[in-house]
Amino acid sequence: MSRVFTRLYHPNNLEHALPKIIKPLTYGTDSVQFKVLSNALNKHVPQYGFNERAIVQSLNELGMGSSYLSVLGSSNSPSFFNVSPSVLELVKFHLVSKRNQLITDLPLDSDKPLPDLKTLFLQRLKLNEHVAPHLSQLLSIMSVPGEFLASTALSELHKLTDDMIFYSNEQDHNDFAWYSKRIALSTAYVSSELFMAQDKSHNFQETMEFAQSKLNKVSQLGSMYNNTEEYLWFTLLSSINLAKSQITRG
Amino acid sequence: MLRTCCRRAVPLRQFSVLSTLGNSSNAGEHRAEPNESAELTKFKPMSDAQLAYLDRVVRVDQAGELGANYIYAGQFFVLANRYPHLRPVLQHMWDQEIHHHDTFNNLQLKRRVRPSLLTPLWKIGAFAMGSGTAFLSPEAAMACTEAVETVIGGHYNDQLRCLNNQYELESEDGTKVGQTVELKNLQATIKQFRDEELEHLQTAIDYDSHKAVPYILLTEGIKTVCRVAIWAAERV
Amino acid sequence: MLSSRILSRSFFASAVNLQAKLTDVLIVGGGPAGLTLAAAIKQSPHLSDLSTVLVDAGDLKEKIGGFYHDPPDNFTNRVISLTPQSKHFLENTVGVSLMEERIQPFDGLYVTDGCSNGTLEMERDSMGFMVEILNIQSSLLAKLRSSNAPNLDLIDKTKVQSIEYEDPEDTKSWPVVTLDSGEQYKTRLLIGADGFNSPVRKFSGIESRGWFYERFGVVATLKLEYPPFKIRGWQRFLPTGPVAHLPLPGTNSTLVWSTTEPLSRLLLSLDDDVFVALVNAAFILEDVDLEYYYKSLQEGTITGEELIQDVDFRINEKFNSFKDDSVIDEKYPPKVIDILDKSRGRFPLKLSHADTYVAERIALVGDAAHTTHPLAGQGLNMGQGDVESLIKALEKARQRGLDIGSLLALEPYWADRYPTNNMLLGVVDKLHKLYSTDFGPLVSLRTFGLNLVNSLQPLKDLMVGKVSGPSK
Repeated sequence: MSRVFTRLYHPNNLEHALPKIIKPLTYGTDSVQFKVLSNALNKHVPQYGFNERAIVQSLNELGMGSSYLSVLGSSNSPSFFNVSPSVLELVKFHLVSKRNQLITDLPLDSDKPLPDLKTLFLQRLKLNEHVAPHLSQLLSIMSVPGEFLASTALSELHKLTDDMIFYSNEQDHNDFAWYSKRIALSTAYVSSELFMAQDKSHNFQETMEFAQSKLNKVSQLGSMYNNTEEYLWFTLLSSINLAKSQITRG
Repeated sequence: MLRTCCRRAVPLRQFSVLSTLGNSSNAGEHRAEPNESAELTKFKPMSDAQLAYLDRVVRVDQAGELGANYIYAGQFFVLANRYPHLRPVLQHMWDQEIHHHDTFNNLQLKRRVRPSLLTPLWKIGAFAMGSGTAFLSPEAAMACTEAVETVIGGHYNDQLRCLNNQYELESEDGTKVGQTVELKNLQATIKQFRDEELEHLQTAIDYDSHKAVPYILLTEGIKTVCRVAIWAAERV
Repeated sequence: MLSSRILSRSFFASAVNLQAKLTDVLIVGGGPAGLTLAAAIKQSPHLSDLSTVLVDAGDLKEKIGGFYHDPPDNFTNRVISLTPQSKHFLENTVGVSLMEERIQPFDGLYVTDGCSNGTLEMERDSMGFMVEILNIQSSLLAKLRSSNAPNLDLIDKTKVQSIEYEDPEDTKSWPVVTLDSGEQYKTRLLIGADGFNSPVRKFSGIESRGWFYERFGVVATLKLEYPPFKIRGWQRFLPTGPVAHLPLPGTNSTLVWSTTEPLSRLLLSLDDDVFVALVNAAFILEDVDLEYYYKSLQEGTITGEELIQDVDFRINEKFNSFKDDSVIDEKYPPKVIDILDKSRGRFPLKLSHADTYVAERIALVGDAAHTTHPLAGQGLNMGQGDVESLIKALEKARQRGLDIGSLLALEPYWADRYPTNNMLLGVVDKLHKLYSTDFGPLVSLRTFGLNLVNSLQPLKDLMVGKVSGPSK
């Protein structure tokens, strides 16, 4: 759990230099790896899927030899089903860049209101559209039990839901509800993505409807938690009062 | 990218039993966030260890103030009707703890710190401790306050020492060494809260805490419980 | 030196309230609870000599008092069900003669589940009485007036401006109540019978805990086609809230429909005949039909005429499916044909329970101490029970020579009533929570439970006995 929920304090941005690296990635936005992977993701993955072929095409396009493949993602340990480290790096890049893209367009500097949680959620699903035919492949790579799932996939999922809640006008919590809301939202997101993987409707209309109904359940869960807590406190305090009233009988 | 932190607040359902546990309306950090007009030095990013420690500070302090809030709530709930002369004192101490709790709540949201997983446990445990000692006697309640405030005072002192010593940051251009305004604010907040907690400690002693009957047992037991809770809240 | 300082201090404290009139009991609030308490005090042999003042902001003497002598032909929309115990207390102990011709005794309750065919039928002669609140209030006022009790002051059309302790440092000193007419009363015992937002409770610092149900109760006075075959109360638990149809004399009846805020607004905005059709539909048709009607009305995709026709068609279809027509009268309430003009209203529903009912020189009765959901019709009855218990506690204190405002005298009232009220509030709240959902498994479970209770006559007798008192 500690790896999934590893958090670091986010200091204010006025007094600290903005990091040039988007955190789980180890290379900056103007590095060679970034260029190669973003080119692969945008141009070649829709055609070939999440495999080495897409990366090699991208490398060749940018004039680099295919031996560069072994350098990309060399820090990843290979997963069980012989998915190569570079493909894992591509998947990591996809998750991180999409998450980043979600928040780059937000009106953070001005006093304009932040978007709904629903808007951000659906927007993130829409960002998957260009790789939609290969979503089931992506999800199967991510869900293999192992190092990648624990340290990257789940932690990215958590960071995504955390970002979605923080950058929307959703009221956040100070107690256990913080966890339950994030878990509920993560579950809703994963099930929506799974649905999207096999959705053939026009413009992914059905996925969006599915996502909406899941989101309604999330807010219902929140209010159910609050009601339960309120009810338990009321019962506790009433019982103490009852005891006090009977003690006065002497 | 300055994130304006005033979210459109969804109103807490009024007239709920939780609202009687007190929500002061003007909570906030000790001082306002540095504004655009101030001349701010840009510092290099903090190391992972420094960030992790700050994360821990906010989490454990939030849990601690939540505990203090609920302890006073429990004491007030049991004692206020029976001992009207204690009511103003208890109300005053409770109000200050509510302010402390709200401050750390805001800090937790603003700095995206995760709250302690065992929060429901702290709520119930603190309320039980407060109301339990109050059921024993008002002096026992004061002894409980004394024990808790002693531990919290020491804990805040440790935090201040660490923040003072381990957070010498280098500015971006390498010319200056110092602390960000944000860190200074955090230290000032903790310092002020520590002073208020020590004031509560003195108040508890003034109100006959030493006269509580199982004094050593109560205070040492409660101090141990608090230390275990602090250790757990830092990590879980 | 010390004695002169003490003397000057108390002199200074009382100099502020030199013109405050002394009284034994000051009741803030002229609702049913407050008036019953005043009448009961004056009727009790041990307490009738206590000087009593009752303050209310409304027009008690003329508007409400006039109801007794010159009642309107139609029934008002604030009607409650009085248990036999409460009625017995009012008529025998307090000596009030209620307006009998405006009271409807009912002999049973028929409760159904809106999501299934769960049914609970409870029958007993005169299980309860449907009484207008104005009936109770005006009868109490008539009793107070006719009994010509000494030392009783009824101050109406006056608000309480402030309440303070005579000695602000001493919470055991006598409370001083300042009215907005300028008069001040220093009282030995201050009673808060002033409703949910009780100023007396705020003054005492007693916390009240609970929550808003986020539901509104819509009330209306209904007109029936024929007098009912069986005079009983009908209640159906829809997922949005229970709808209750309760009998009044003749071909009248009263409606209490608890529903969500948007739906309550919708119901109040409809035309009379559309509203009547929905009321009939609420008891007979399925919940899906009702959801369809709400949605169409809100979106404006159906006109009133079409809705009325559709409801009639579906109801007839349902009735024709029964082989035996007499079943209809057995299972469904009589058909509503009209509502009384402008009798529709709504009020918010909430649960609240004060931590304690008594403090030094202060006691809370009725809605100031507790409020509940109207689904079981217990709110006012709990208040009457409170008054009965408080009178007993005060009588006992008086007989022992205690100061009636002391905590020692008042605590037995709290000890007696808190458990009962707590239990009733808890049960009603759980019923509300149980029936607020249409979640499949839970519906099956509760239907099974309801049918099971229905088949166990001894259990039903026990329940009825608990709520309405022992059968005669």
